[in-house]
Order: sequence, then C-alpha cells, then structure tokens
Amino acid sequence: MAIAESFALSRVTTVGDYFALLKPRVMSLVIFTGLAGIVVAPGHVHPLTAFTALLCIAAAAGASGALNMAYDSDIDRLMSRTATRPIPMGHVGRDEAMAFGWTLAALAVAMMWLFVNVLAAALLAFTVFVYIGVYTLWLKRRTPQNIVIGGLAGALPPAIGWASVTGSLSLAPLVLVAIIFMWTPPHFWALSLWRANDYARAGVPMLPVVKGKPYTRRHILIYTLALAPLGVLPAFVGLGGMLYLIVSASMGFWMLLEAIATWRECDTVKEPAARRLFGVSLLYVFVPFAALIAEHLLHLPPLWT
Amino acid sequence: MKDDELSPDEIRAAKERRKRNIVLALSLVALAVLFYLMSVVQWREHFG
Repeated sequence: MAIAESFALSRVTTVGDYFALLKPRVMSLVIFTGLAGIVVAPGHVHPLTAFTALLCIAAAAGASGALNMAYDSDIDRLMSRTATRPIPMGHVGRDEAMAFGWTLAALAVAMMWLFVNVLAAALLAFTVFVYIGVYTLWLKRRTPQNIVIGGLAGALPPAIGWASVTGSLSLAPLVLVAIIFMWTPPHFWALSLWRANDYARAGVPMLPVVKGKPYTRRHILIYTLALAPLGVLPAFVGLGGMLYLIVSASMGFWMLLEAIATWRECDTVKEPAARRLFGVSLLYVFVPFAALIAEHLLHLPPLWT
Repeated sequence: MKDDELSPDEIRAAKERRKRNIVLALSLVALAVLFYLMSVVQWREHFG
C-alpha cells in the first residue's frame, strides 16, 4: 500500500496547499541566489524592475516545483519524505497542479520578457525546461546522474539575476552558477544516504540505490573537494572581497570536514554525518552569498579587479 | 441554506473557499498594479 493512502484525507483545497505546491524552501534558495545575481551585477536598474525580475524568478521556481509534484505524484506517494505533499494527500488534483504550474511558468516568463529583458526571460524558460523536461521527465527515473545534470536548473538563478540587470552574461555570474552546480550533488546525495530505502521503494535510481553507499560517500567527498576551491573563486574574478573570501573559505573547510566525516561514517542506518553535511551544505549557499550581497550593499571593494 | 443547517465541515469548507477567492483576487489586483507600475517605469525609461 502506498504510504499516502494510509493517511490520505479528502477536503477542500486550501491556500496553504497551493503554497506547498510551490516548494517554498527551494524557492527561498532560488530567490536568495537570484538576488545575489542582481545585487552583484554591474550597472543599475529601477528597483521595481529588480523586484519584478525577482518575482518572476520566484514564480518560475514555484511553478517548476508544482509541475515536479504533478509529474512525480505517483512516486511521491511511495516515499515517506514526499507522501504528505498536497497531491498524494488528495488535497490538490494532479491536473489542477499541472494547470497551476504551467500557467504560473508562462506568466513568469512572459513578464520577464515584457518588463525585464529577453535574455533573462530565455534563461528563465530554460531553467523550467531543465527542471521539468530534462530532470523530472527524462533523467530522474533513468540515471543516478539525474541530480548532477538536473542541478543546472537550480544553479542558474544568479545568472538570471545578472542578466536582468546587464542584459548579458559574462564569466563572473557563471562562476556563481558553477558553485551551485557543484554544490547540488553532495547536498542531495547526503540526503539520499539516509533516504536510500525511500528512493529504492519508489524505484528512483539515486546513487546509493544503484551504486551503493560507499560509492556515494566517495563521490560526495570528490565533489566537495572540487567545490571548496570553486567557492572562493568569486574573490578572484572581481565579485567578492576579503569578507567573502574568509566566509567562503571557512564554509568550504567546514563542509569538507563534514564530507570527510560522511566518507568515514560507520552508522549506515541513522547516517548522522550525512545529516550534518546536509545541514552544513544549506548554510554553504546562504552564508557566502549573504556575505557577497552584504559586500556589494556596503560598497566594500572587491579583492581583485 | 442557512449557516445553522450546515455541518461544521461544510462551514469550514465554505470559509476556506472564501479565503481562497480573496487571496486569488488580491493576487490578481497586485499583478494588475505591478503591470501598471512597470508600464510607467518602462515608459519613463524610453521617453523620460
């Protein structure tokens, strides 16, 4: 029996259900990194244009979340982590979520095109395409590399923010994209270590399910080893200053320590090190990006010009 | 049908529907205001 069936309720769809469809926690990360792209970009746009760009980024991220829940509702009801989502619970219909998601995505891209610029709109549409077309519909159920390639969708918001201000792209925003791209696999593989049974039950080929936990731990460590130096790179491409360098280097070192602990973990049931790594990896995005935003708002000089 | 003839579940559902409609209406109003303001901003950028 599907997990969701054991406590599924039938009731009227609430505002909270629609809000839950937007995956607000994921959305907050996307808004934050998109804001970083807007703040660090050279040039100036009207504050209302910046707000509209951020709103469109948030709406497209929320739409992607709703569409992901609609297309994956069959496997969501099989996993304890996702069984309480609005569709498996019977609070929102799958078709309703689909209509909600596509309408919101179309509105977000159209508004970005109309009121910001065509490059930002194209990047936003590409983000939805990668998350839904490439990750959700194509890779998620086929390969353990699903989150590696699909992670591009979550990595693009800084570039969209940058493009909203400048109307172009350069090396600097792509460095921010590369950081989030490299951060995504260790973040989700840490989660999959203690959720491996869930993924196996739903037939999702996450790395621990297909290749085993030792292989996953090794790959978490390899990706974190690559992430740590990449994380300080903004300080050397004219984006970050001394504050960013110190914060990102410290966070990189902390995440590396947790990745080593996860690699050496003996408790393969509770996976305490992987849980810690997951928490630290969340901070790894928020704290250095906050430092970057603070530096630019306080007009602190970059380390390298 | 009067409110006292409705079951508590039906009253709760009616309240939730009303709340949903208010949120939808406010969202649409906010969107319309944003469209108007952004049009002004763009107009000023091009002609102002």
